[in-house]
Amino acid sequence: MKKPSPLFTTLAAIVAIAAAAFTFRDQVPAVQKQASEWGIPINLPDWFKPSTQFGARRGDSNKPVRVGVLMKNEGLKPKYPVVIVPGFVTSGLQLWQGHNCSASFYRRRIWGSLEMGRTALRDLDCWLTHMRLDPKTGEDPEGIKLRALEGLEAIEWFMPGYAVWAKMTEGLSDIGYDPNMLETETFDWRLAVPKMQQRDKWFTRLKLRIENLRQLNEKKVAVLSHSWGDNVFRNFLVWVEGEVDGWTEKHVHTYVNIGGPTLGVPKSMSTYLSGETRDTAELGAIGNMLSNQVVPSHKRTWLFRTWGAGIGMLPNGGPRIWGNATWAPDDTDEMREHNHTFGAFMIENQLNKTMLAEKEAIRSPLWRAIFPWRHTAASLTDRVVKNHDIDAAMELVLANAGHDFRQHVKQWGAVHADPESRQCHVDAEKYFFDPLKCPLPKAPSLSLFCLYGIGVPTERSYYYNHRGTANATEGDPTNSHELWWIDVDAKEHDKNSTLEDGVRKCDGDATVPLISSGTLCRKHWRHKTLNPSGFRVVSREYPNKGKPGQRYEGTSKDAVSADHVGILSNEALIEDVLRIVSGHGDELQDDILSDIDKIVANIPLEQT
Amino acid sequence: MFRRLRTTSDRDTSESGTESGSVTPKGTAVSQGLEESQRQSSLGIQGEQPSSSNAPNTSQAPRRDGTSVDAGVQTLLSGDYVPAKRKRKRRRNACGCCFNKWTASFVAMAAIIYASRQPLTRMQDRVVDTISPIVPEWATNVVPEWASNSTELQRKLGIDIQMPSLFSEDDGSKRRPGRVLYEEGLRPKHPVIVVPGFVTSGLVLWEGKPCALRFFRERIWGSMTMTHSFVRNTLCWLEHMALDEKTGADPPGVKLRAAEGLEAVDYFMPGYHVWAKLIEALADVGYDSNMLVGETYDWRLAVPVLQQRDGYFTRLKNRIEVMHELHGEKVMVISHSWGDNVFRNFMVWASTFDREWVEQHVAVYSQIAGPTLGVPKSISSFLSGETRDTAELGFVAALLSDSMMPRNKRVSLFRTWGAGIGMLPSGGPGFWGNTTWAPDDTPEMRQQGTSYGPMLTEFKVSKEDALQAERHHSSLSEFIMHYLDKRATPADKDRVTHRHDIDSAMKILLADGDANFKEHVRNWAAVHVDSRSCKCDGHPEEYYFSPLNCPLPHAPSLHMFCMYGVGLPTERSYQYLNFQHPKTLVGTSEGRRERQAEVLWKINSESNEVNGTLDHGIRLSDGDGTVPLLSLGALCRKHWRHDKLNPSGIRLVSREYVHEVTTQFGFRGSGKSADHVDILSHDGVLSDIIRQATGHAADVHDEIHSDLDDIVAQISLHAD
Repeated sequence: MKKPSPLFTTLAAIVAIAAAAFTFRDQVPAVQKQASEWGIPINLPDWFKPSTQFGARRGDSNKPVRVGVLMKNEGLKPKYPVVIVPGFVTSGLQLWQGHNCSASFYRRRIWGSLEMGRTALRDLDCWLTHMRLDPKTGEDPEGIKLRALEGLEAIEWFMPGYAVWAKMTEGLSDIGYDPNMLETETFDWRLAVPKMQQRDKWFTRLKLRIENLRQLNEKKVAVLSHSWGDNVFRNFLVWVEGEVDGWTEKHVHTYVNIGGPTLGVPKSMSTYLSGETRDTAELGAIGNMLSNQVVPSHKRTWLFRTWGAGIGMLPNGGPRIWGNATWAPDDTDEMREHNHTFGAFMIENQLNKTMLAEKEAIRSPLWRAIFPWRHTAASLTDRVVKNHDIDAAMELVLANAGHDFRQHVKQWGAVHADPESRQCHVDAEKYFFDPLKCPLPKAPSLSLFCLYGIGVPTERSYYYNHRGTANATEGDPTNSHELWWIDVDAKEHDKNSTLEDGVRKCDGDATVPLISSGTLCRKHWRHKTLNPSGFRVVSREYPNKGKPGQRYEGTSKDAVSADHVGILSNEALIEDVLRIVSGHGDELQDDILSDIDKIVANIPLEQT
Repeated sequence: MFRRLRTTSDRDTSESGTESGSVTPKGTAVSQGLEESQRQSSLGIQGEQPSSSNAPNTSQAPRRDGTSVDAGVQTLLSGDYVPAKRKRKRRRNACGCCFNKWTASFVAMAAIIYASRQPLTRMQDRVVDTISPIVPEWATNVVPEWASNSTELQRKLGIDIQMPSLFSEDDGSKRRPGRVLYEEGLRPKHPVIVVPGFVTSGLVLWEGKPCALRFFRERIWGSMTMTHSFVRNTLCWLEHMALDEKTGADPPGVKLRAAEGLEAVDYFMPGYHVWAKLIEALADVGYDSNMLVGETYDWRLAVPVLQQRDGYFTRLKNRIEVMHELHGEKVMVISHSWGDNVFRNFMVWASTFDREWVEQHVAVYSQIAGPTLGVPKSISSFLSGETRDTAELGFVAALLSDSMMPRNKRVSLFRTWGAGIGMLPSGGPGFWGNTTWAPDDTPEMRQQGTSYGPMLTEFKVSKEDALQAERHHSSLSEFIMHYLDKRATPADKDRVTHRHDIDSAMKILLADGDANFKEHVRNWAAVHVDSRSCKCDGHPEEYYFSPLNCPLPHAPSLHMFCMYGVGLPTERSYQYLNFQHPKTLVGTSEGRRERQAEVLWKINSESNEVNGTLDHGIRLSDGDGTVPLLSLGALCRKHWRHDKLNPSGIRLVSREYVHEVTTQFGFRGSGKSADHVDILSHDGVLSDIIRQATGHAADVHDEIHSDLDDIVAQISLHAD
């Protein structure tokens, strides 16, 4: 036998050493300690550390002690049973019936798992068809049934590593909650609120669940809602008061509204007009998936326009809240100096054929390669620009989104654009309620907490390109994306400009602007008109100290994030929630850090 | 890599000139190519490198690169074949050596990877967690299947419910019963509520000791996590699975709660379906989660504690009322296994508050494989921690084998589980037989003079053996093996010291247990040992009800179905070795306490009958593999059809399904298995359930395949 080659020897030695080291890795800390005593620092990669280190992956963060454990040591104990009402898109949907192409998906999460991404990539049309609702009825299309997954597991992790309610439930269980006192009523978040009752009897379900929890624990419940769950739950309150007078007073002790878009989100407008979703915090990873590269924008409008829930999120309150073409209540001083305003909700840039050609040429990579300095639309100075306020913008959306959509907005939206805008109907199986018209229930002992994040730039108004057409009336909903698209070239050269790639951004939590999350809580719900029994309302704001988007790492960095979904992992918020549900809500006062007081001062109390 | 190695070895064995001729240029080509490139590179750096230093590298180069893909191209470039022959020779030898060593090192590496697959998959989890946004498919498959044992990842990815193809029975060729019936026009009518059974649903850790930190809010039972946690730290796992000895509820600092919803009951583990097929069948005719719900519970708890700790009865009642209110139809309840006993207890409880409640809310009650009179297996579990091939646990049984978990640990774990106590055989000798006779004895057995009646047949163990056992007490099983090797004399009747009927067996069990256990048996079991037991007064938070004392509720329009499998050998009675000195059996408690850590009973697994029903010390009867026919069928067929236990005349239907083995792998059946758990995917059961749920309950009639009628004929109606 010849001598083995040096190469082989080396390799074998490496393998042997690695194997030995891996086998004895449990001894590594001791060795490290010894080495450091001798003054030799040893740094090892994470994966190499002893097996117990892997245990730290989940369930505990880099911080030695979780906020829940701290609270437990402080002596907090479960007091009120908790019902969680989750938000938009962040909970799982399960396929119960589908077409052939989705056979492998039967009873699995078609929404809310990694596999969803994969399958969507594999057969996009199939996936979209299943995610869609019937455009006419807003319910299940023929032969397809999606239902919400049940239980806490459906809302805790949206995807591996993407915590939604997980940290919150962890905190709650740390102080002693268990499924006997902690439940969730999930819903199919695509549905318009009236449809939730019509198809799934969701209001009845929630009512009975709360009653049962109250009966089992002999305590009124605390309801936690997130995002769209707030609108849903307030609609439920209106409905339930119509069913049983004084129900809320009897069954609900505290209502905690986390990041609720009480007046809607501007983002819904761009979504419905051109299918463009940008910087979608609540979608996270899915935002990428639904981006232009994967799902063409006409498919997106085709999908989104069937989702009644989105209609409920159209900005509500009209120009008095969202501003007119020259002014908005939440304009910053700096913007006023520069004559910019959030009030011009949609700035339309009409393009004729030649301008279009030029614009497209500018955007082409070749052009940019040749004239790198001319990649802004500087040459388009002679453009026709129209400023639309919220009402006019709404009219544009309605004109472009098709007849069905217009019908649905009338019933399922709380928007102010329609002259037929309703008063407060009690027919919850037909209508969505306008929070500016429907007062909160009469429940003097209820406390309402509005907890929301601030300090993240949030979409507020848009610069749109519009290719002019002959008939400006009811547009064909299938090609509106060809007529309208966000003007990503729109830029300002100020240092602190609020305009970014065609979208003007204001303070907020990256999804819901401050004006929507804060106004009602700070002003309107503290007055007799909308809060007749005068129960306690508390606004608490959480500044964003972490960087948005870091939540994927699942480390303590997300403990300070205040973006729309990340806020559920925010330790300050978790601490407050734990205090509230353990009966110390009285000790929590308003905590205002933003300009919300200046903003609400500009908004009249009475809405006409 | 391997392909390359094989070609080199082929070359080694072949001596033919043509072969070597075809090989040589390639080898040369590579070396030439390398020389060429090195020459070029040295040119590139202006000859800073002395050319002589290239020489040794060149000779090694071919070995490193083997047959390069570029070989063909390189051949054209090089014309010099002469030095190649020398090189070839060296190369061949070296590579021969390479082949062995390489293979060895690969095997070693594979072994290392396999051994360390746990950390590996956790690494993978980490990786996936970090790069979770849009992970390309390959990224989640970094670690090959065989090296991956993490289902945490799979669960989070949502892949877990898909079973590995080996275990998949749905080849698409079979018509699903749900689809057939859908085409027949059956549509959902009654909302369906599922009450799952013993051990087959998931338990989630809500509060734990530091050793279980990693498993916080994960399924410590009913997922691969369970295996993980178990293997990692058995004692820790046991500590968390056990209930408080005294209260039968949570021990201090540990909280396990049932996983919620249908997800908790459809698959026990990836690939091991429990309710999945039934849910699928109901979905095929149009059910969805609005009309089909599962009300899970912590199956370890005694029925009274279910209400005490979790308010389960209140929950179930509310749930049924909600479904009734939502859909305006009375509900159908499907229970499996132990879920039957739970639900019947619930009905007694609900009826005490409102006599008409069941009548008003429940249209159909279908119990599948319900152990109405308990299971003999519970005795052996409590006495010696032994369960033979437990059908409920399936391959998990292997996990609970002696090597993984000492029997005394198992016994003390099982004894804390109140549900097991509820499964102790009830009905006494009238049902289970006396020392010489039992109602379900087969004619052959009567001829042979054997009987199921003696629940426990006690074998003599000499004093010396017992002493030896104590000497070997560190490894009892070792000693037993030793002992059995010495005297493998099966069924030696002379060595039988006692035959115990069911009552006497219960006394032995109680004598073996401590005060807590006795108290619990009194309150949580329906056994026939105590006058205080078998109450029927609507206090489920205190007592478990005996089916023989508590009549079915007042519900004249209710349809009640007993559906169960037959044709599988099922544990019925036991032959035991008693290591305790016979004198101390009922003797002082001191001796017992001293040896409490030791299990003094062991199934005499050497005892067999060639043509009989005795198998390794266990006498087997007809049944579904877990519950004997007697317990499955007797009440349904006889007692519940009489006024005494069914005063309102509920319609009773017994349906038996004969077990058939048809799958290639004999694994989990393919709609034909009637095993205790597999029956939930039996085609006949699926069709019948759908008919019942869609309002055709009246069309489903009795179907008896076993000797049940002969058996019940021998059981007195008023067994006391």
